[in-house]
Amino acid sequence: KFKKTCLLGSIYIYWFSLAKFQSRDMRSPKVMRTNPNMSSFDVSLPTLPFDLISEIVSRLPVKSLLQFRCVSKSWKSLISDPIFARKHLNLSTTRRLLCLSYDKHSHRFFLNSYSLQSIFRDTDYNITRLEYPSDNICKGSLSHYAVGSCDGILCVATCRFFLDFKPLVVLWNPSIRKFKELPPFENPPGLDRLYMSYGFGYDHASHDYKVVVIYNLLGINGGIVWDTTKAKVYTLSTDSWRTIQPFPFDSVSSYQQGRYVSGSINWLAYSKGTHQRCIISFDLGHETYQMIRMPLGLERTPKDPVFSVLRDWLCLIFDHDVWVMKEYGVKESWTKLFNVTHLLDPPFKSFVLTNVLYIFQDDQLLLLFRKDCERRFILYNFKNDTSKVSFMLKDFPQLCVESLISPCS
Amino acid sequence: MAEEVSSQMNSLSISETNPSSSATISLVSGDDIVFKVEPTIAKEMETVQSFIDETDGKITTIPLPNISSHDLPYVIEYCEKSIAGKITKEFEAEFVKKLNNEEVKELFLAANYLNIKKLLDFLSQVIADRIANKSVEYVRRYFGIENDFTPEEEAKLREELAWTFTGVDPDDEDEN
Repeated sequence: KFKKTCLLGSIYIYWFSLAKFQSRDMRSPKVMRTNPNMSSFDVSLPTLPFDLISEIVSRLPVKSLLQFRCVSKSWKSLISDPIFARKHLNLSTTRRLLCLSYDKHSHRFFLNSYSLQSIFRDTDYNITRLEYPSDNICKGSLSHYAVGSCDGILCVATCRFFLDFKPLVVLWNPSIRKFKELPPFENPPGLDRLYMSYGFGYDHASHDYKVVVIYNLLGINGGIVWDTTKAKVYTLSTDSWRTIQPFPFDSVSSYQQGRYVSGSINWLAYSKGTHQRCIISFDLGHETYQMIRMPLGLERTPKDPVFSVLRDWLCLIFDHDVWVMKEYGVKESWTKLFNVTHLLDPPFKSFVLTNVLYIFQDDQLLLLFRKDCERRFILYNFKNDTSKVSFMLKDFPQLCVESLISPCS
Repeated sequence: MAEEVSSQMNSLSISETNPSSSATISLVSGDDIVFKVEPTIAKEMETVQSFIDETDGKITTIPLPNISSHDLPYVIEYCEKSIAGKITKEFEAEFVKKLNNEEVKELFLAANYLNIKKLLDFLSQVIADRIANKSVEYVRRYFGIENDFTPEEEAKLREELAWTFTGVDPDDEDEN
């Protein structure tokens, strides 16, 4: 009975909206009825019920959404609503490649943002160039790194030691141009840092963004040299850092950043004693570590494999072989996806595969190759084994979805 | 009164309402045209199916007074393709090419009323694509929305968002 009432109710609601819609050409005037529950839906949007407006609007690109805040007051409050921002994120298909670059003349950092669809066009790469919005920067092209991106927010951090400089981490959503500088995680004088490695991601348990830092401190106290490794986590909702369990392996492989996948940050780790590698995963919800085994044969290679994330798989690249872990945490699910040696014909013979960035819906893969300071994208068609090369790129790109999620909570 | 209307769709026959004649479902449009469809098609329309289920299948003639005989064939065509697993990008592109803005909105409301999730999602995207990168004024006209900002409020908001107002497409005239 209840269902039937609902059905009738929806007929009335439908009538009402349709009648308004078709006011210019009423096909069947006899269907005009007054809805007794009219007050139950938003009268500020006369033509479509509000939940339907939200269905449509949540599929718009971010730039249009920002403009359409000017449409009316109800549109402005809808588009500014954090719940709407998450709905939009889940439907967002627009991805951009972000490159943090340093301009030697102005001593400033810029973020070049390329539309993923446009990088293989010969003209019009659709680049947006944003200036790094903070003055609190350290000069030098290698001082700031893009750690990674999550839900449209890019994390940028200083990853090396600088004498008089506080370690700096920023969260930046370039699509909405919102930027947040995090408080320093540690600033004791006279300390030397050997390395810092970060990870950035979303904790689904507490619905919060977190940044994790693992760093090594070296100092001299009363003539004694000491060396310690620490780990801290930052939560966006509290805007503060706190100490967590220390990293359970000797060290993070040379300057590699933590990779976010499946609610966890993952590092390629290295043991000095046994010369063994593994992946250490940090669960952002439980804040516990777990060890993940590498594919057989990659545990003791003379040099580090490339470690990244493809879709929601952990990904390792070694010797032009691309491995993915199809089931997170299950060692047996490591699969060799493909090998790209044959793609490297002259003039790209001495190029090295440095990342697999994206799998398009039609199974095409976006690969990144490097030779010295020159980087190029290759669009590789898995099915018919053909490839296409892009323009040259100087800086390392991060893949980032377009979203309305603001890092300024 | 039912009318005789010819249809290009094979599985679709239109005749006078006669609920006891077969297992097919009769959908009656707002302008009293009867569309006979297979029960599998009705299954795609959750609103219709739940009505059939409520009456234990005894009622097979469903009045859809708010859907016109102009729109219903589109809905049925989409459902048929959906059942056959033949919803491709090409089909969808062809499907909307024929529809003007007003028709898309009508179909969107019909899909919502009939509770056809796939069609509703698809048409939401179609409308979004049609208003993306258009001007604020165009969007107000498209949805019939009254601007309730004062000129000062709107000017302030536009100033804050000035960087987004570049490269907006010119308004096209297809509004009816």
